[in-house]
Amino acid sequence: MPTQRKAGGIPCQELVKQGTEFLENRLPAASKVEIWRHLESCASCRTYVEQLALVRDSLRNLRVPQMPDRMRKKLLQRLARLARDTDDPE
Amino acid sequence: MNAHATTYEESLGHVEHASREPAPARASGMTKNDSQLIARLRQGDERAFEALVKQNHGALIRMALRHVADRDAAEEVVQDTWIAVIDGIGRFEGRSSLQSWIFAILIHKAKDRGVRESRHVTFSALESHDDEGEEGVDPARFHASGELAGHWALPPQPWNEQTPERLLASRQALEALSKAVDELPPGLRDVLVLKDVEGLESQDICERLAITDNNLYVRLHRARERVRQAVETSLLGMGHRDVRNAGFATLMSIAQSVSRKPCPPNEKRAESRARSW
Repeated sequence: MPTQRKAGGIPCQELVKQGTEFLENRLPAASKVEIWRHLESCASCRTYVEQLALVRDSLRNLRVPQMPDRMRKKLLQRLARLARDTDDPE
Repeated sequence: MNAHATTYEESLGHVEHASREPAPARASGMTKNDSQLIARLRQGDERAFEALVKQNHGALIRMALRHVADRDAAEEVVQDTWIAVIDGIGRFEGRSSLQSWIFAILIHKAKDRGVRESRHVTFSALESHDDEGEEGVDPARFHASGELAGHWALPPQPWNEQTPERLLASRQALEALSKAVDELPPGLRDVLVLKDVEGLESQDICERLAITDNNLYVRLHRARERVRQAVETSLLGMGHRDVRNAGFATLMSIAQSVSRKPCPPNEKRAESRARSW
């Protein structure tokens, strides 16, 4: 059975609950210090936080749906027409 | 939350004005960038419109998909939304941010379309989402008692793919990532997509989804953890279902089959990684 050397301060289970707030820098200073201390001595929690950050950063690179060219052309024509009408209501 | 929520009438572009003069932009809900963009749009500036599309089109499609049957229907709803934006920009009063206004239009149109398709999805999924209960890493992965209580019994294994580029280059991981996002409950998926995929500001997301800042981060963490688990499962070579469904015995056998390193203090390594977070 795998075992884990006990890291200092808060237990791992408590750290992982705060993983996102830690990554997003939303924790109070005292909590951040506590987490950093734990991470310094716990490779498993470092792996966990690293994976959470990797998921976040990978999601940023997921393909975003693009507007089809035909739709873009149609909308730009409408925009131009509306601007003309506004300038010259007659 | 923005106290100046977009009204139903304004969101539909139905607010009437006595003259054809563009409505004055109120500062309350808009950023300076919004004001400039609106002024350019009113002049028919194509580049301003392109910028707005680039910033929002993907998120609009994803949001529409929550209410309508398929991608084609979502694209039609989004196209109608853009038309309403173009037609209504001269009357937009700026009581909310420009993005919130656009998304309010989308939601009204998508719900209407969803009702007609008899596939209306209400916000009940969001409302019924339990933000208070415990959810995250399976408690069975931690020691339940003894000196190591609360510490990892089944720790995450390091992945070979340690950069977003490498992770996304792995077809297996990419599929797991995409599928995990698609399979999230709407209340989690919306938050994850808007924050991590679309990169919106927290305040905009809270306003758009009518949730508190605290709710947002609770859901964001749960969503990221589910996606992380799905990728972990995929990279460990298990079947499709996520780790939480695998059962503790299966997880233990996998963990025992993976070579594990001890857990030495390694401050330099931690500092090096922290810089990349």
